[in-house]
Amino acid sequence: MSNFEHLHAEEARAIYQMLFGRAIPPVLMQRFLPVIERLNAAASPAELTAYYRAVETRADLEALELAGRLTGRLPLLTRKVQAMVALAETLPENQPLYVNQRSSFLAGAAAMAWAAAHSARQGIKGLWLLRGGAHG
Amino acid sequence: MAELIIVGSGAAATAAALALVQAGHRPIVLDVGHVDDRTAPRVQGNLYRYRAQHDSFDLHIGADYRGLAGVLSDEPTVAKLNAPAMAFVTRDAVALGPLSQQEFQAIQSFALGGLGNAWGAGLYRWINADLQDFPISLAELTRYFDILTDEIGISGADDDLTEFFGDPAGLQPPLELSHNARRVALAYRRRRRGLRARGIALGRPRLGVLTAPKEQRPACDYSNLEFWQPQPFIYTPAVTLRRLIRAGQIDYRPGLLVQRWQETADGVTVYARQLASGADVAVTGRRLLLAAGAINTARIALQSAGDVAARLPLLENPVVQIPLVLPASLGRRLDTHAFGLVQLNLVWESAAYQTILQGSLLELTAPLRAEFFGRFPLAARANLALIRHLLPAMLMLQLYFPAWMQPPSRLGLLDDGRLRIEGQPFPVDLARLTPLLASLRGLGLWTHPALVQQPITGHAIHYAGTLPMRAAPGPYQCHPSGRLYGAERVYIADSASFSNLSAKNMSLGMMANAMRIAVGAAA
Ligand SMILES: Cc1cc2nc3c(=O)[nH]c(=O)nc-3n(C[C@H](O)[C@H](O)[C@H](O)COP(=O)(O)OP(=O)(O)OC[C@H]3O[C@@H](n4cnc5c(N)ncnc54)[C@H](O)[C@@H]3O)c2cc1C
Repeated sequence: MSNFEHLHAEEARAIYQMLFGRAIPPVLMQRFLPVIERLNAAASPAELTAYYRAVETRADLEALELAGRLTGRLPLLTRKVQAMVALAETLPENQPLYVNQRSSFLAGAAAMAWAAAHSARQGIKGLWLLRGGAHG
Repeated sequence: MAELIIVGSGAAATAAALALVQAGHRPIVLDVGHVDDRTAPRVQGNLYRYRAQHDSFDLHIGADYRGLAGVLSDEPTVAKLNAPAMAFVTRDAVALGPLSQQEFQAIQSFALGGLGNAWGAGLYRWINADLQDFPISLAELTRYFDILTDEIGISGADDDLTEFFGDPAGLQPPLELSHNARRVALAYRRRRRGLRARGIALGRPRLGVLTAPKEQRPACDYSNLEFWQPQPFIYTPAVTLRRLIRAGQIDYRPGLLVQRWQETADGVTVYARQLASGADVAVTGRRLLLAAGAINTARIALQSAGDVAARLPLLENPVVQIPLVLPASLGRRLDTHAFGLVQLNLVWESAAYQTILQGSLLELTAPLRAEFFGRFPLAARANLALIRHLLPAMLMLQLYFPAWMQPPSRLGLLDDGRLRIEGQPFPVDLARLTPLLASLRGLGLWTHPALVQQPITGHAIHYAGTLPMRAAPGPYQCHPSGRLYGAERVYIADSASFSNLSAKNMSLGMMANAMRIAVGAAA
């Protein structure tokens, strides 16, 4: 594996871990690497620099992505996360993560409340991380 | 010499061919005619049952990653056209119909059956209001609407929308509603009087989707697969075209890119490029019916005149997408047994916009769940939670405005052979939507104006009016008969000939008009 391949595999692992809290299945790794290559090839040097600086700090990726999305500063990270969400949806074992199979208003309301609180926390954290100056 | 030549095989061309066959002719149909030549087996059964048991990468994404086009490309895309099984619909469009565009994004098809292979099959009769500015009357089209209703197998109901959607005779029963749509329909029944007083009517769509088997085509199976593969219960122009080809009733010639025509004393010669060999081909007939889609029909007209100076109008419906939440369905399990496209229609006789707007209330069960991930504004894992718990409680209202609300785009031929299309930015005045949003709340549907999105002009995919029909036409316009001004034997059978474009999905009106023009041209 070249240095680039190592780096890209590391990215894929980190994004999947951030989204689903577990190790990326090998088939998804295989499918995601070409996505990284395509997106990197289409990105401007400034986008790439900002992205890799942010990722290399190993800071909270989810917080960085949200803050990056809100400020327009890390579009590459947002695209990679979106692509991973789409690719991960095609695996049978991930269906319960996307498709609610049992009706519960309470569970729905609780999920909404958690989502709002979590996002507020991550938004603040992400903005603070970005403001740290190291991320472009 | 052939009597009649048709260019194209989309909805307009197919309707014209049908009318000619019924009148006893055997037209030649010249077409590019891409078909779905993938060997991937069709998915049987239900989308979600399939996905629970199979890796669905090939179904949703594909080896060329076209399913990720919305993420990988900077250009806005139409989700349904990114499905691997829909690739043939827009295949080679950039090379075959080269464009230079500004503030416009056209979707072109060079497939057998055209864009109709991917359509939502919302097929609505015209009423008098839809014919505003047309130099023809509704009575001239009624017969053809009846024939098409029978040919296609349109489902729908006689309800509050009949006054906007026309005669319900011959309709199949409507589709089963999804859970959320049923809730909305019930709420409408309870609040009907107040809503009608505010100009809002709700009812069943008219869909080219079978609810009862018809000529070896099955009834809708509510499998949510509409986005992912052509479904036999959804009518497409290819259904009729293939039947006419099989029966030998038309002379279908695919693989030809028509460039121009030339009239002679007793006929018209069509010049085309054979795509396989690159050779030039000439076909001569007595009459020519152009139905290559409003944009490519105009291209052929300009190429025939060798005119790089003219700038033609191009009409398109402005459209907004309004995401709606039914709080009462929050946390509900996903409705996996559903028809994943239009559930209900809404018509708004709007005092605010001083016109009639038409909306399609869409179920969101068919696209990838991930399609909505980027539309939610929260942290990534929170967005995943919304996909699971909020998305099953959501519908989308796609609201169409009449084309005249927006200045027409301009279309012209460039020296290098590309078509130049210049749109005009037209931000819909969202403040005027307030009364509609309030009425939707009365139906249990919540949204926020900040969530309303307006796709780029071109993505309503209703193109019209490039060579409009006028009572007294001039250059690049046509007579009420569809005959192009200055030509003796050339007729415009598709929506290029529209004089205007109401807020109603246009395809059935276009098909009826194509039949009228074809019959007239053959007479
Ligand atoms: C996702 C989607 C959903 C839609 N939903 C609806 C809906 O619910 N209701 C509705 O009314 N409409 C809908 N539409 C729009 C509808 O599909 C189109 O308006 C309609 O199909 C246009 O038909 P047409 O015959 O004008 O042209 P097209 O479908 O564009 O067909 C053009 C034909 O001409 C041929 N052609 C073009 N140029 C040449 C040439 N130079 N030489 C030879 N052949 C040529 C092509 O091969 C093709 O066969 C939808 C479209 C899409 C993509």
